[in-house]
Amino acid sequence: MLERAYEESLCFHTTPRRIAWVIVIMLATVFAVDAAVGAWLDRHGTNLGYRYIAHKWRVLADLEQPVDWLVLGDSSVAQAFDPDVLARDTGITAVNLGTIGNFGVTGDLWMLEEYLERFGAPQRVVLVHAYDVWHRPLDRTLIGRVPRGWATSARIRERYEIEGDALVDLVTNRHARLYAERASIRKALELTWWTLVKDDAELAAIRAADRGLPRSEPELVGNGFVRMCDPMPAHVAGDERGHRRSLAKRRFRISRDNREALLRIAELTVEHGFRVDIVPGPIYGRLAAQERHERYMDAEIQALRSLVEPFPGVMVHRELRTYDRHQMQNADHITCDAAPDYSRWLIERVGRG
Amino acid sequence: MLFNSWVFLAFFAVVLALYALMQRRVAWQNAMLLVASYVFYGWWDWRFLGLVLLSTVVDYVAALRIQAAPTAALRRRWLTLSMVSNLGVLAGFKYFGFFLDSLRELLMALGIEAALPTLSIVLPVGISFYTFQTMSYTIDVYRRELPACTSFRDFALYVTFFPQLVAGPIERSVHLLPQMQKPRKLTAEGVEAGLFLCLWGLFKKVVVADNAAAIADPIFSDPSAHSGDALLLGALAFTAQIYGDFSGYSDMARGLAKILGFELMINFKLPYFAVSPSDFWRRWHVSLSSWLRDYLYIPLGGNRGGSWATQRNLMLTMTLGGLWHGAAWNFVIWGVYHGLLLILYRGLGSLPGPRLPARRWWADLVRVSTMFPLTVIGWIIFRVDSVAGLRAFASGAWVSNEVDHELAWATLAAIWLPVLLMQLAQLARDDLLVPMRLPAVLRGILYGLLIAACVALGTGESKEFIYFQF
Repeated sequence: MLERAYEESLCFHTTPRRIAWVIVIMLATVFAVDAAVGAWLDRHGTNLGYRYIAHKWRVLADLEQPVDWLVLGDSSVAQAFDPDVLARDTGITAVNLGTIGNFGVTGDLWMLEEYLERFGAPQRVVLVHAYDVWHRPLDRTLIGRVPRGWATSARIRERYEIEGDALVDLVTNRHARLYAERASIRKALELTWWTLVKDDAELAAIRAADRGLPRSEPELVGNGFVRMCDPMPAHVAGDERGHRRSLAKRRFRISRDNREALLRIAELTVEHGFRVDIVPGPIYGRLAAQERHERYMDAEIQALRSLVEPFPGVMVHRELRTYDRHQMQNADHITCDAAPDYSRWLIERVGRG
Repeated sequence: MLFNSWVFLAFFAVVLALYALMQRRVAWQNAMLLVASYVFYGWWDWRFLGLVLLSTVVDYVAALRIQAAPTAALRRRWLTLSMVSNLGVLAGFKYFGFFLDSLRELLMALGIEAALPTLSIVLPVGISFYTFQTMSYTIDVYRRELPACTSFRDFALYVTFFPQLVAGPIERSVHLLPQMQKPRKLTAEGVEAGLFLCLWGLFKKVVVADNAAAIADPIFSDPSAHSGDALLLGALAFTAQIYGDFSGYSDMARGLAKILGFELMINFKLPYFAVSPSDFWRRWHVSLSSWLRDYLYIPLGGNRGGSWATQRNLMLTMTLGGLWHGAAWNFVIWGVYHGLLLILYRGLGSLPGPRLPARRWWADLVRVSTMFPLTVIGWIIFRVDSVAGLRAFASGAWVSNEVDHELAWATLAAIWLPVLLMQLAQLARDDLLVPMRLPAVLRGILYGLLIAACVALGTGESKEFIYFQF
């Protein structure tokens, strides 16, 4: 039965017009798959940074009422500040729009601008960043992940000098997620497979052994808070060593992107009449106690204060809230159990305004 | 310039645009394709263009002389010149270093110290393909199966036609040369069939072969460090890899040619559904196996000289076929292994006793289930780079496994499933272009899914095709 000639029949009939139609459907399929995969990655992707960005912009878009406090910053605050704690304790409403460190203050500025445009000035804007975010330049490829039409506009490209390879990266990151995020797709498929065939303990071991997988799955809450509940004491200790090595080599300097974005935020405080509090994110106690870290923080605070000195509406706080490694996932990210404590500390620092 | 690269995509777009502009001007089209083919080949290493040109000139002249020669002796002399030239190039670039190394090892084993030079000659890409193709031309002219080509341009294009230059199919002059010499008709059917073959070939290369290689390579790099199901996994992954890689290239080559209006021969006919060793070689790398049959096995006497002579001819043909794949002993052993399988199956066939019935699906299932493991064993021999590696496979396969390879097994199953489904459809309809029977909407969706899979599930590295090195 199987032993036969096997040829190609060309018994079908087509026309140039039908081929054009087939190509249109083919391209539409590629775009549809790209969009579907993008939506899936926004919810199940292994690149948590991208998920945070997608989620926080969604939270901002879904916001129907103005809030009293707008909390901006990086992932350290995304996991540390729970707006529900503020509402329970004080009746003040808030939304947590902290994304990731590599988006820096530029991401804060863009979210603030959108908020101001829709709702006007909030009572208070709180900017929370880990100590080592201020020196980082804006990662241009992340702009492609902002789910707004203007993100890849000529204005933004010009403003952030995006051209050549950076422009190609931005465009593919924006419009060709199948290609730009193929490593994430592979990892997300792997994780889906593991989730199907392994129990929780085995899955945790696989996550811990594979650097390409997030160590635990975040719960992205509607108010912007990111619940991450698994303490990782061993990882905190390792991360702290990395921070110490990095501190030994680095002197504080604020990046141009962050400086310009912060100055623009400061100008907005004047234009719209609101207050901005800049507060350090939570930190591992042993790291905070390091002399090098203290010196670095002093330099950082001094630089930030001198930068915003002409703007009385901007306050820079020096105090730190430290945690034990059993309450953390790495040296600047706390677990959901420690989040109420940080939230209350933040409320205390910033005041009830 | 790999087919699965952006550079090639741009290159082909330019070629296609120029080709379309030159419709109905065969001479112009051929000249343009010839230049494009030289650019394509020179992209790897322009220095080897001289070698291609030499092979072209020698065979062009030799064939004209053979045709014009008044005596059989003179005809034979020109044929000999062509053979010596082609085989000399092949021997010099591909086998000389191997023979020297083997000789040195043999002499050392005999206790003789010989100061033989160590050569590291760069192997020109596709040398085995185009030399076999040009040799077949001269032999066909010698056999008077084809008149010698008078147009150097057309003949040079036959030798260097870029879709099949570096990894086949090894085209026969009687099949391809006439297509070079007459106007090609671009048909909508040919263009769409070509598009499908390109996309399906790309999928087999980028999704199947490259992902299978990521599983097979670490296992084959040190077989002694693995055991049990890891070795089986490695063997099956390589089985998927080599099929995806080579048949993927062949499909793309045939697809590109179809878009340009050429028909290249079918090189793969569902080889893992083979029911016997001889059936396997009617399905795997058909252009080479039929070349070996027509230009080596039959001239040696084929099966006309009795049982012993047939077995000798089979073994010689398969051994040389193995050696064609590369200058290494594992290829020779692989050829011998397939020669033995062919002889054994012939021997079993001639024994009296009960037979599996023909035309019964379960009997074919038994035959395929017997042939497939034998094919996999062959690929292990083909892939290992040392006798120690082969020994590790032979001994380690029986040891219990201690490493978890669940994800690799799942990956292998996932990448093979679409291939299996497509092949079952091809088998059921007895048509290798079976997707062409789908409605246009479904074809468009299928092509879109193939592109999306290639983009998202490729390994990200543009890996060379295995058969380039042959």
